[in-house]
Amino acid sequence: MPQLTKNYIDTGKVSFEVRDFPLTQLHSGALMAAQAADCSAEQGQFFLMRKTIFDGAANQEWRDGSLDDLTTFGNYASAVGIDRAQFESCVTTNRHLAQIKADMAMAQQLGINSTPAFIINGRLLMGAQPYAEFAKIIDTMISPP
Amino acid sequence: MYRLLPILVAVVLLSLAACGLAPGSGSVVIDDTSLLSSRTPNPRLIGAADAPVKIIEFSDYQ
Repeated sequence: MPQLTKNYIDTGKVSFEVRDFPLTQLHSGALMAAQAADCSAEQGQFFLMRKTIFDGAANQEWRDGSLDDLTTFGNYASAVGIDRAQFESCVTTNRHLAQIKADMAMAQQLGINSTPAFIINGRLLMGAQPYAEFAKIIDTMISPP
Repeated sequence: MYRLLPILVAVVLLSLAACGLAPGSGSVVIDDTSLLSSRTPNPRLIGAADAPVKIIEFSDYQ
């Protein structure tokens, strides 16, 4: 991601958007995590919160969308510098559930059934990919042979 | 006819409520008027919105 950011996003060649596709049948905490990320987005800290959530998952700091996890996400909110009360109200009232469901419906329409999945100018790329693969596709789109 | 209108409306609302379809009858509150993806600027997007190449990642969190 750092190389992609430096060479393509910061140079105006690429925009990068994240949509939610929580695999709720496999990951019981993913829906709350998506809501936590989206509730941070409305306070301008989506990407930092997203990284914090991923790091927390790797460290098993949250698991299943329980009240304990809500507290953990609230701690993350404080750590990334957003208003915790506003954040917790957003999560507990499902403020962005409609957005998440819209994203999930779009993914299913596109035939996506696992993550990560990428749509690059309409082209579907499934699974985690090395930087070189992204660069090859992007370069071809910017300067067709 | 118009005198019956309030009664008809009441009957329809009572029917909807009985089916669990009346406004406010659900257990989940969903605000679908503020989709993040339709906001400008989109808070889940980095880079120039008019960039020639647009990448969208569909992401899980676990």
